[in-house]
This record gives sequence, C-alpha cells and structure tokens, in this order.
Amino acid sequence: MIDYDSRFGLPRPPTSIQPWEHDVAPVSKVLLDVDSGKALKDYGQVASSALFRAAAKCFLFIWAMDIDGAVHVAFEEVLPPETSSGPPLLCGHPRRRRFPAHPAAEKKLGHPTLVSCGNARIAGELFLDECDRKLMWYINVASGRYCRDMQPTPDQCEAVRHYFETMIDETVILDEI
Amino acid sequence: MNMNTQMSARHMNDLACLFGSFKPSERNLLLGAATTAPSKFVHALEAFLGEWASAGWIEEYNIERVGKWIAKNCPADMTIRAKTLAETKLVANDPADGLADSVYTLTYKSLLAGLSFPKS
Repeated sequence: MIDYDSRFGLPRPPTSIQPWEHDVAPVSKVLLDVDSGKALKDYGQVASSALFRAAAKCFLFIWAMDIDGAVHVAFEEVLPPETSSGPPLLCGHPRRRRFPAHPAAEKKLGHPTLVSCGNARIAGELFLDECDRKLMWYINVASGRYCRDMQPTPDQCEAVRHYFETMIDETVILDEI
Repeated sequence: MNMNTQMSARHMNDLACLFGSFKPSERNLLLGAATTAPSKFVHALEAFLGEWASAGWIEEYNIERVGKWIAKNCPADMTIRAKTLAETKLVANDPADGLADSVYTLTYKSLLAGLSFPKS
C-alpha cells in the first residue's frame, strides 16, 4: 500500500484562491490514467512535427495530486471576461504563454481549480520544451499555491516525476527551478 | 525611432515575455542576455515587473522564481542590479502608498525574496 503522505507530501489547502477560480474547472481537465497518459504521449509525438512544434511550445499543462493520490491534468486555461448579460459563453481557452500577453493580463485557472479549490499533496506544470533540439516532456512542482510554503522534498519530486514518466511512457525531465 | 532603436525595443519586449513563460529553453535565452547584454536584461526585467506591479492581481511565486533563478544562475553583478531595481521601486511611486501588501509592493518584495536565495 502506498504511503502517499511520505511519498508525495501531506495534503494542504491552497494558500490563496482568486475570485474567479471558485466553482469553475478547466474544460480540458482529465484524470491522469492509462488513456490520458497515452493521449499525452501521442500529443508529444505529434508536436514534434514542424507543423505543430512552435504551437506546442506556447502552451503548458497544469497538474495536481488530490488527497486520494489521483493526479488531475488540464491545459492551463484562461477565463474569458464576463459579459454584461452574464457569465462567459466561451470556455476552455488555453493560455498562450510568452507572446504577446503578460501573465497579469489574463485570468488564468490555476491549480486550485483542478481540485475544486480543496487540498492537494503536490502540484505543478507539465510541458514540452526543446532539449538539444529535441522536444521533451518536463514537469515542475512550481505551484505557488500548493508548493511554495511547503516545498516538496527531492524524493517527492523524483516520485512524481517517475509517476508521470510511467503514465506517459516517455522520458520526463524534472525542471527544478 | 531609428531601425536600431526599434530592433532594440523589440528585443527587450521579447525578453520581457520570456520571464512570464520561463521554460528551460527560454531561461537559456535569458541567461545569454544577462551575460552579453546586461542592461537590456535589466530593462526587460523592469518591464516584466512593471506589468505585474500595475495589475489587479499577482502571482508572487512567478516573480519569486525569477529572482531565485537570477540569484542562482546569472552573473553575480546581475543579482546586485536586480536588487537595486526592486529596492528603488519600493521606495518610490507606490500608487497605493501606505497600504500594506499592495500588488505593487508585493511585486518587488517577491523579487527580493527570490534574490535572497544562495547562489548554487
């Protein structure tokens, strides 16, 4: 039986929740399992083609492990602004990093939205980036809300990196910054 | 604005955007700038922080990571320049002067917190 507390970290609440993050979840949110792991593997392989490579590098996924040890993954999405006639009609827009928007310009759906603003053990980002001209999978544990004040140990970082590597069935590099 | 100035401004804007994304390959580009064009790097950092400082919300950890990375990886002089930038901003022009923990103040305090990490 897995001791989730020691292997991945104690469940902890988010240190803050943005007003727009309550009662909303990313449209793309899925459980990381065999099927979604295969989808990520396929995505990484498709993204390696010249046609998709640059676009894939603009986006990233966010992930969080809940109290039961389930890992939830989604594209990092932004919330469209509400209209005068009510809530936004269009949801599920991936946040495009880098150019042209500054992070402050968008209401992103952060890690708390993966776990209904509840507790998570460990959380971070998953993304494709170039390493020696090859597109590789990276993860970090850079959730400001879950992993800043109670930082994961090196063993916990390695455990979660290994978990992603097993599920995606590709090399996954831990981005330690 | 002449062509060189336009190119320079565009390059600086590109660099500022990289702080917001901050993937490993982008940090390599930033490190190159910190080493070969330190003034451009500092101006880009100032532009990146300025956007946060005037925003309605803040990701403190996003900024703190930038400071930590500068302290650990950039030439030592860059840590001093970034620290001076943050300290100068903190003593001047806070639009919410007198209010604790304004977004403006948190922006520059977050950078200073990151810069306090020891060099690896």
